[in-house]
Amino acid sequence: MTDRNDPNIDSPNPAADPEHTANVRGASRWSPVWIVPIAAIVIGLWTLVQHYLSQGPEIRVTFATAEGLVAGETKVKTLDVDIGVVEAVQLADDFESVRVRIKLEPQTAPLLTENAQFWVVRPHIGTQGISGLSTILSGAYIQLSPGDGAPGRRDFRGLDEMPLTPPSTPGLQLQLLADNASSINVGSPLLYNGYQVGRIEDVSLDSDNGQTHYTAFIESPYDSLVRSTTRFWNASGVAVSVDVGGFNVRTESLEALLTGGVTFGIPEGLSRGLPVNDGQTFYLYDDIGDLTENPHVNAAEYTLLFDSSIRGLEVGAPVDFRGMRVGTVLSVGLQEWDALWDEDRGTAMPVIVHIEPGWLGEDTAAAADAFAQSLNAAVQSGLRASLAIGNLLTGQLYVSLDFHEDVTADEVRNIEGALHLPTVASGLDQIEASVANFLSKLQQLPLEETLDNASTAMSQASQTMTTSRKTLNALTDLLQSDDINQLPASVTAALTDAQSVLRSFGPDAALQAELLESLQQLKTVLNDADAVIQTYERQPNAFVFPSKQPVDPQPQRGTP
Amino acid sequence: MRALITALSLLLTLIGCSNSTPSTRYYLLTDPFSTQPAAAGCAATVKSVTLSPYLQRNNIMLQTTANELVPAVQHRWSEPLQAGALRLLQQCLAGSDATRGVEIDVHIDHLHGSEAGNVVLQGHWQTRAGAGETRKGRFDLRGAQSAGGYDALVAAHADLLRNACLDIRAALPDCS
Repeated sequence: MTDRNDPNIDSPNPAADPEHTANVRGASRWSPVWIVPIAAIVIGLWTLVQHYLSQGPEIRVTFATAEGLVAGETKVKTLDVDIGVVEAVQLADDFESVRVRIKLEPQTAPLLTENAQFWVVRPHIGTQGISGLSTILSGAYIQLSPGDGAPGRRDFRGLDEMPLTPPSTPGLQLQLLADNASSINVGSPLLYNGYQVGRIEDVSLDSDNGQTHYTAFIESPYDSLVRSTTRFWNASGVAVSVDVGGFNVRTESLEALLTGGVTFGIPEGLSRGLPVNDGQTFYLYDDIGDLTENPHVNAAEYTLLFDSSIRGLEVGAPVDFRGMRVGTVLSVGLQEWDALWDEDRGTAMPVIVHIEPGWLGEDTAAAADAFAQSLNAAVQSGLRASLAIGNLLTGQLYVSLDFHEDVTADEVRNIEGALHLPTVASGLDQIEASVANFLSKLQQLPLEETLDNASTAMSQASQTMTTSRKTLNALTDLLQSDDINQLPASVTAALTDAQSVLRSFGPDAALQAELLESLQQLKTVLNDADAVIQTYERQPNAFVFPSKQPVDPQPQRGTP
Repeated sequence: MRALITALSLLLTLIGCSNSTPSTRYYLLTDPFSTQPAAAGCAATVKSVTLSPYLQRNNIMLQTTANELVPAVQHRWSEPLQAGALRLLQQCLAGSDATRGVEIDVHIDHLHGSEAGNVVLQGHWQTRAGAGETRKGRFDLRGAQSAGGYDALVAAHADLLRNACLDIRAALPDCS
């Protein structure tokens, strides 16, 4: 029976002639033979894919040197577990480093984060101790420290040494700037009240200003101890002091003594401040004494010009206002030797000072700005800077700010970006100027002529004295003579007589009474003569023909 | 002869032209109570009496109008009025002993009578500076003549002076 479903039958009409038609069957396009190769291909591809997928990530790490690295042998480890191997070591394109191609196991892909670190572990003896001794026998290997961040990085720069702090360690990283901290090295501890809470991770030198930069790391939770008012100081070595109790020796820790160390804290008198962020920069003081003298950070910088000598004024000298410290001298004198005279400055010597508001209140930038404004107002009211003697024996000077009454009006001037505080001569300079003025006037006096005249007068006086002495001797002889001795008695008698005579002229004396009476009689006579004279005036011939005298009016009996 | 007649004529002329002048009378101030002893224990004495200029004459002054004073020509003081007043006041104040106690100076501004018979005495006194408080006072006294004539006028003068003395006594603590 013909199966209509038989695919080998290709007849347009199989029902028309099933006995005379040829059964034509086309050639099949696919041969079962191909099953094998196809299966082989598939299996091969699958194997290839599986092989590819089973391969771990391949990374490239750049190291400074390939010491101890052998292609195909040097292993890559993390947590002492082999996770890869070095496949190739080649020179970098710049010929100053080596590029190491590393093949890692697949499961290590999540470890290749942005902050992952690689370094070569070799035998190492340092201040932190001896490490990597096992590599003497096994050979050097590359250590991987996975960090945080997104995975997927494939190109890394290897570290020269094992990092002191793993990148994923929680904590705070800070920058410390020091003018002189030769005893601080990488790995030096960071101490708080003698307890190690971190360490120095990196040291570098700024060739521009000569400052040393330290990267410090403080582990969590001790990073909260660092605030905006925290101060760092060098705690290396031993502090020796002498007082009435004897010698005092103090050191932070043995490690700090041997390897150097940095201590931090908030100085007494400062507020707790604000939390700090990663990467904040702090100043590293030389020691606790340096910190005590200059505990403030925020300051306003001013330039002072002095016409007098500034010998005795040193960097770090205080700036006082009536005995209260308000700042510090930052720099003294000229910075360039060929600027001995300047058209604007003249021959005045510049001194740069920091006015630090922290001495009087808050040590913040806002307080510094407010203090600068109040200082400007004070200058307009007569505040001036002057040099004062701090120590008479050593001649040390300091800058004194005070109000002066006899000064011309002035203000804080901004000259080429620098704020200038007006200055006045110091008390000693004024005294010196007065003395010089006095001496010049003294010099102009005709002293020689005066001395000559005085000499002449002295010789004449001497002659006069000699004459006077002779006269005195003669007078003494006279006084000692008998006649003179009898003189007092005679004088007394004469005085007695004179007194009696004077008494006779006194107000109660009879003579005076007689005189007064005589005067009264004279007055009466004159009054009468006056009447006669009036009569003759009225009647000149009264002498010959006397006029008849009028009769006096008669008083009558009165009425009580 | 001619000379004789001329002389006689002249003499008669002179005799005929001569006037007779009335005689002058002199008066003395007398304390009417001078015989009475002074108050016991009165330690005061008048050291001086000064007069106004118009009284410094020996004429007794008489007021004829409100503003006119006439010095009497025929009636005069026998002694300076200042001396008489001093004596009278001294006798009145301290009796016969004029040297005790506080010394007083008296000044008389007015002392005269009038045709109507009224007499006035005005003046002031003051103790001299010495131990004790300085005292001073004024007196303004008026009186009347008991009879007409200058004799009564002088008596009235003496009465007023005595009254002034009594006023001074009353003002002194040791004499009142």
